[in-house]
Amino acid sequence: MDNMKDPLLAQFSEPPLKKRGFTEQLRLSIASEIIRLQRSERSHNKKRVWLHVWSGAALVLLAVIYYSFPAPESIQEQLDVVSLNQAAPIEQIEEPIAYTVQSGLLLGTRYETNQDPLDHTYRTLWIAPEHGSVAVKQEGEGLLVPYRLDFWKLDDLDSREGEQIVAWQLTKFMDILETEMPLAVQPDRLSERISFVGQQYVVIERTHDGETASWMTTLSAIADHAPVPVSLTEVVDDPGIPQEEIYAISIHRAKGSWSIHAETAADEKKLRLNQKAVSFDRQCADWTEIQQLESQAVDALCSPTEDWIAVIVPAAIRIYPVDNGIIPQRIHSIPLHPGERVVMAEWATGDYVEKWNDWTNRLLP
Amino acid sequence: MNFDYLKFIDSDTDKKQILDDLMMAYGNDVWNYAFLICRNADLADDITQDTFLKAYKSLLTFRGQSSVKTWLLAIARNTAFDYRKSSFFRRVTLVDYVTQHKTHPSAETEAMETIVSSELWGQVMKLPVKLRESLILYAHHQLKMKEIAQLLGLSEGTVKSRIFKARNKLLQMAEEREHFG
Repeated sequence: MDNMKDPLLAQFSEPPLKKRGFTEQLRLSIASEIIRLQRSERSHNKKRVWLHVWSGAALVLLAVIYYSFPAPESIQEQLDVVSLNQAAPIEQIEEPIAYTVQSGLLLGTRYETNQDPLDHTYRTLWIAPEHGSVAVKQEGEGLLVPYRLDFWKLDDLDSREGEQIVAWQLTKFMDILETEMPLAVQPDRLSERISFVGQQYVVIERTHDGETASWMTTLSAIADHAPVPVSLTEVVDDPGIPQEEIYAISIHRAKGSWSIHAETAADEKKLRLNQKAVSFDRQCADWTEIQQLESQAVDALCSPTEDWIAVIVPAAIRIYPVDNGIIPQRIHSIPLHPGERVVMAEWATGDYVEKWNDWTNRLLP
Repeated sequence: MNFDYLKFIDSDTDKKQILDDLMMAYGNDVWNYAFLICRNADLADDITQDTFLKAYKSLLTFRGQSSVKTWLLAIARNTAFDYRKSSFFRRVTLVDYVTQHKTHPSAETEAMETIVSSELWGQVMKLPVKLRESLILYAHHQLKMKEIAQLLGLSEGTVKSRIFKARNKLLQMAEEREHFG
């Protein structure tokens, strides 16, 4: 087969699209990411060098101490002396509990503004490692949603008629930052609120004339001002109900996991969301253990690396370290507004923690 | 641009400069290939970015077992299929309980017709991915049969067969357009 002699195949020498696909902006975005990788590599190498230097210095110091001072009695010798003398009991020294925090949580919440059920405020908290513990490193209004290699913003647009949920992609390319909320407004205003955000999926509850309906849609559909619903089979494995029989859905969160309730004429079925909608939704402890720790616990979020857990009580988020089980020493507490509830929980582990530190620093305040 | 020297680089080499050169030389090829697999420009951006980042991380492991272009396209292919497995492609169903909704034709079809450079490319996008891939690697990316077989993990005979089928399918589609408009 000779490409050049075949007139049909020869037409494919032209590129597929009218406009060039690999743009200068994309190239710059990749180049910026490479610079970030290089910095991370250099920093890692420096730490390794310092580790070797300090290890060497520590060894030298130990050697100096060992040869400079008389050898201490062995512990066994000490115990023998004590048992012989039957003197004061051996002092028990309580060692501080050591733990390592490696993961970060991008938490999205919703609460009623001014106790008005039709007026909501959304906020995002970036809770991440700091000085060996966790802290709220960034906080901002609206919901900052990580999806694939990018971040989106979800918020509500207020007007005299009510609230409308809008979405926009923040950082298509490094050099372009779309911080302005889109201005499009539907003529027939309805009141909308967000109940759930997971990966690209969003559950919106819409209220009109006292009637409320919920459905699940996607970030890009909302951004296109056409938030059509997705099929339940996208987010639930084997729902066991034909789509056409479902006349209502609602999203719930209880005891640390999400579920979606599908109503038919005869029944209401509770279904578990799959990984397309919720990337991580497991607990690192039984609910009983969590309640023993915090008797007023209503929810809990456990890190995928099982290094810390956020237990939610009515007025606060209480954070505990985890190391083969919850360590009952609270390391942080974050106050919540009355009625504030979780609508989004996205975890970052490994390299993504540092990346999200940078991005939330740029995108949240 | 000649990249034969990649077989001999070590950890002291300026990898960023190499990546810049690779993007200049093959950025379009990688993006076009990603687009041809996933048929979505935004996703093609992400796959392209992922591809070059992976290439950067594995530069030291490249030993010339294939051409640099084939190597990059193989990374792009694996990345694109990883995205497909994670169900990026969504289907939308309209249900009655939403009080306001719009009827959309397939958004993908609508978008595709407006962005492709020719009717023929539009037809290629409708081919099954197995046929589409083989045809485009041969006809657009100008890879040799052996390189295509290596990239796709197939025999050269299977590659030739797929290109032949793809070509015939395109001719058939062209005839149908003539008859039915």
